[in-house]
Amino acid sequence: MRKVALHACITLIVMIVSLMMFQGCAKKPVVQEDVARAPQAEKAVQAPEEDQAVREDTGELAKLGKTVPEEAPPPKSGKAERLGYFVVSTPDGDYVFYDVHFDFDKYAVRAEDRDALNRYAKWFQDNRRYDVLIEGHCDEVGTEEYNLALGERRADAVRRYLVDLGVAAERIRTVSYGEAYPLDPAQTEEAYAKNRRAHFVVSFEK
Amino acid sequence: MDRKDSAAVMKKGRIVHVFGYFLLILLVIPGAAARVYIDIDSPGFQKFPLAIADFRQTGGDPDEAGLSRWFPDATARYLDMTDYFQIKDRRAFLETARSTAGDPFKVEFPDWTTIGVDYLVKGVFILRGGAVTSEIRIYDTVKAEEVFRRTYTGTVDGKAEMAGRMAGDILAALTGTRPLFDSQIAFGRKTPQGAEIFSVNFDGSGIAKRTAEYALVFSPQWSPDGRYLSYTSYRSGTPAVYIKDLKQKVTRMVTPYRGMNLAGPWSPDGRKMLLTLSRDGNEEIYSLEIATGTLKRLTRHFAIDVSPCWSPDGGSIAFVSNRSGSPQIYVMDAAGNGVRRISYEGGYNTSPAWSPRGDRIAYESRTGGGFQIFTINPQGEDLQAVTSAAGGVHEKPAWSPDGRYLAAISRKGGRHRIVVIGMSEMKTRTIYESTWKCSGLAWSH
Repeated sequence: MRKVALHACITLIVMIVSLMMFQGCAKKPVVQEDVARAPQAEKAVQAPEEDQAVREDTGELAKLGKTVPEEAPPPKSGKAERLGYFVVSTPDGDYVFYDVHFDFDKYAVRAEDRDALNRYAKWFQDNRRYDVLIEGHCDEVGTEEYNLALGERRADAVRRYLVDLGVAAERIRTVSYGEAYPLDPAQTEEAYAKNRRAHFVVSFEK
Repeated sequence: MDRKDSAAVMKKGRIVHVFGYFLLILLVIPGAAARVYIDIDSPGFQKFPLAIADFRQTGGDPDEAGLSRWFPDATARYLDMTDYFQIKDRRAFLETARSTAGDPFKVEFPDWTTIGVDYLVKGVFILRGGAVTSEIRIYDTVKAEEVFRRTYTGTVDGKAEMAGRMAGDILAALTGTRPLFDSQIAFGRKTPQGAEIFSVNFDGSGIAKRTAEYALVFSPQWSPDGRYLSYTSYRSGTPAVYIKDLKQKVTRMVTPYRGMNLAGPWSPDGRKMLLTLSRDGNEEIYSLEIATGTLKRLTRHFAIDVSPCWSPDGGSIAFVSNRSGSPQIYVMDAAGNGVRRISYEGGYNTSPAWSPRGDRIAYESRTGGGFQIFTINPQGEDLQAVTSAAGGVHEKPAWSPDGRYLAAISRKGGRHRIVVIGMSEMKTRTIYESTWKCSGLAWSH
């Protein structure tokens, strides 16, 4: 009986001590959180009409970039058809830029595409008021993020090739779409080979 | 809130002082003798037989919503998802309402042990004008004692949330683990107008569109507190990293650099985020300090470096590089030093995800049966297959916050699924399915 009473007594002391420590350490994060959030609430009350500005000033992300609309503008109607070539119409007539292709997981310009690229470089030399966007694409076999990098390498390889042949670097922009826009959605080796490509979008100077 | 506090206390208690154990008892299992009952990490773990009796209505309006059976069924559904419980069918129950007529919490323990039930949940509820008050109690039927009780308030409309809380408490009381029922998995999905980031709850409920980008989107990432969602969007025509403040409903464009801008994970302490940028000429891994906006380059190599992720202590980073000629998994320290390759099997290994327990790194590997998920330890040893071609192709592993599950994207027959794989039994559960292509996963903390 006495043993039980002693036990109960010790347990009680332990619980009290524990509770005190709980007050001491466990509550802290809660308090800190309140303090951290308080200024935001205050400012919002003071200047509700400058809503956007208040958000700009108080956020933890204030040093990062800039705010943009919550929603991007909806897309223009009509989906652009993906083609394996690009036709640019000039006063001298139409000129066709065919896609150049790549091996799986590779971004080196192939020997069989060099003649075409040489012709394109010459065309840009002769038509100096045209700029180009080179899109890098991949097949769907690989991993999405890695393919974004690979697509960029492909676009960049073509850009470098043209720059080496004398096309001004500032006339060439690149973008990688990874595996997002396959030319042929089929899951065959033939389709994959078509989809591993760099595509040209030529525009009159801006 | 209550649960978060308990978790914080649990962490500190273990580290800081001896009496932490008592705190844990006081907070996690109020009003009950306490210990963690089910050691789900023991190698010989077997599912625990659990019964949830029909809830008894003890007053108020007529039970038109059929809550008496709805609560046990919904709670059982949540618990079944964990793979830790074997939920007994109510048709096997012996205890009758008559034998416990006077007291809804009277338990005829032999009636339960006879049918092989080790743990029993009983509940009561009162309905008043759409408001619900409910109490549950958990019993150890072998020891014939109560181990937990709690009262819940909510509404008939919000009954799913109530059942989630009940299931979470039952899980915590019996296993000592943090429930995942309120965690969410974010992913990218194509839409008729482009692609958007979506999120879905752990149980497959609550699918929500999180963005309005009308453009390619990739690589959603949650901040550790769940307040921010970062991702890569092509809304301006070229890729940039955006951060959405889900609380204040503000979106920021963070990295408008030339070339590739890919969002990577937030550090475990929430102070940094990893990025893949090609602004310095080719794809390199960077860390961005949130408070100052300071960008630090971590890799320096002419090869592709991409898809970084943190170790749970924030001290190391796993990433993909093709510096050996094919994409492989590498590990380096958080400052970018000591780079070493850890994947050697297979010619195409990508999408590393470091387990929150620290001991495994999951990744996808190109096999004869398409991409499948494997895990390996951070030293590059003990390779194990997680998925197989029978379930289709599996990509983009993402760990649950407790490291007991992997979410992945599975593709088969033109269907794209988000699946959750329990690592104890390798059982797969589909939580989302679409004919639209899905991409990059992130599990909220």
